[in-house]
Amino acid sequence: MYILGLSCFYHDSSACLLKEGKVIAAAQEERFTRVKHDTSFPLNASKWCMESAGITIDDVDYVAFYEKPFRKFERVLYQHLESFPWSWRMFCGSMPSWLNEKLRMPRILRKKLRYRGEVFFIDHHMCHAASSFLASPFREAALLTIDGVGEYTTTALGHAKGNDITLEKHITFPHSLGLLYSAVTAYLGFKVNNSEYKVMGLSAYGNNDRKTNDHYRKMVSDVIDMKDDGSFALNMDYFDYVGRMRMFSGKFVRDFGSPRKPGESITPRHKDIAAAVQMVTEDVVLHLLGHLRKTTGLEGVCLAGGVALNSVVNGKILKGTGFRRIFIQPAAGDAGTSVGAALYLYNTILGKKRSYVMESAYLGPGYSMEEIKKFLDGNSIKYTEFRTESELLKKTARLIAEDKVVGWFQGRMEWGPRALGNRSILANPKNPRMQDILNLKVKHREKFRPFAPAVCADDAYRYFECDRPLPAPADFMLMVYPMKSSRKGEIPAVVHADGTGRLQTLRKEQNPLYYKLIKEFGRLTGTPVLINTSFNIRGEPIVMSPYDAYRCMMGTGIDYLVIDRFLIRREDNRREEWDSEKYSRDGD
Amino acid sequence: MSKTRHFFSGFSEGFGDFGRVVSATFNYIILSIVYFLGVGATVLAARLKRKHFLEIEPPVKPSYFMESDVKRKEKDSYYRQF
Repeated sequence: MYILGLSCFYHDSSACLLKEGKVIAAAQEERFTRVKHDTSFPLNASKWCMESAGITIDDVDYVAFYEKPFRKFERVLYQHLESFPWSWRMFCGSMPSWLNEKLRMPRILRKKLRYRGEVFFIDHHMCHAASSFLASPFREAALLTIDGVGEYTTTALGHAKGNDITLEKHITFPHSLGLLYSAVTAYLGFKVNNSEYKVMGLSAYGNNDRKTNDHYRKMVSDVIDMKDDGSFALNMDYFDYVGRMRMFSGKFVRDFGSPRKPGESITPRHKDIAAAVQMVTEDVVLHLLGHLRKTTGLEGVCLAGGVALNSVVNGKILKGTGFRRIFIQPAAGDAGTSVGAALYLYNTILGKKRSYVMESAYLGPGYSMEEIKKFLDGNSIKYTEFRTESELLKKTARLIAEDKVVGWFQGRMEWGPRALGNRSILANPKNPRMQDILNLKVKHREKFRPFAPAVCADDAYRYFECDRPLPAPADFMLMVYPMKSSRKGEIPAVVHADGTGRLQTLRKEQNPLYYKLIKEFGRLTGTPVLINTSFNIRGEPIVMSPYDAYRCMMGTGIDYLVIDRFLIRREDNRREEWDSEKYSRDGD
Repeated sequence: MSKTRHFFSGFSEGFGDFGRVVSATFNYIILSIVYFLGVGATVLAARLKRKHFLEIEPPVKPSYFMESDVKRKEKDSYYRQF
């Protein structure tokens, strides 16, 4: 049985294909169209999912969609009713898309995919919950889904056992922790639904003392009312997102000062406000989970929703809530709901036995050696071919140790927003200047954003104060842990301002080649840790194909590209027609 | 030949853009009428009856959680978009 899961028309559209209850392919549309956070119908991703399985749309038994569009439309209309006449512009701007696309899903499926079978519409937060629990190794667990907004729900709590998921309590729009975080993201001059992770990174530079950070105290006293059970309500006088084209209100500006414009310098006040919203987020999530632990008595917890991508909070959950095990799937945000919809349909609605655990994130497109060679030869690209795996590992490790920046393109693309060693840029974390070198050569990103370390699971405890046993979300770069004081000097390029690191841990069975590369680098330098950053040009999605990877290398300062068994040196090739820097966009 | 092709491709692109501008303008006008007459009239009636559609200011209470409907849903309910 094949089930196609779809998520689209809000942000990060995606498709996934289930075969007999197992996710065999999943990808975000942005990787195909090269439009970051693409919201359009995931036509390319859907077609690729089917092609990769060797099937056509006629072989798909069911389609599962990630929300109830009419319920969401009802909420949107209510927003306009509540904020009349201020929502006029928003109404005129959003209605065409609702009337032409969002409310016509079955018709769009017929038109774009020629699908005429059954379509299941599943609640947004149920999809989030299913994307985590039904992909987890747990037979029973507590659940927390928390994001901007689904149909009405912004936060939901419950528990799951076997195939059944029960979301018992919820908080509804406009009271949303995700939207509070997004409002502060907008206030700090960053792009909503794109740059929340920048606020998370910036927060480490602010005043993280709850007693002395005045912005934090203002937020907890006036902006958000949080109860002991973690439930909360926002003071909507501070926000305009219900019916206007901006997130925060004049009152927010009066109380917290003027907002930062994109590109303006970042002041200590901005850092303190970032720290304040991060601390509020931690307070709410830890209280919610503490309450959930107490009421369910369960030891395992599954999280999903955009807020579950906040790796700083995630790293504190096991220490701060009493839960002993945690699972978050790599695409915890809205992209992941296509997987949730499909799994919920298979396991819960159709009642089929659970047989799937998402142990690795490598679910996207991959390219054979022949395809890559054909691309290289077809474009007269100069390269050398490694004869053995050992030669590849030794050479690549040596290049990284010599402070070269290496593009690493292997196997199938990752599912979710993080590059986890198949579409990554790798560099030497021992060089204290490497952060500047990477920013200068490739990433051009804000100085306050840290680079992430990749470490083999068996070495993680030597460098980081991780939870024991190492939780699965750390494999997906979803946990931030303090670095051991004695090791900070050894890998200075990946130590954040607060002494933490957003590490990716790696188990050999997940990605043997990447695992061996880290170990080889360790043998060469005495430090089995690499810098792993996403393989992309600023403002573009992570590379998907050999073409994207080569174009990215040639337009930036990446020194070498290791693509399957081939090594390409940038300086050996002509740059002109591949200058990707001109495609680089500001990702604020 | 290539000049002719270039002309027609430019012409069709420009015509497409023009069509999009006209369509957006008409959409804006029609949706504005719908907004001020349809939404406006509903709002007027709702405000007279003091009805609220969203809980913008929830009453202060010991918990802001709302109980969810935990009844098992029939398979047919998932075919519905609402």
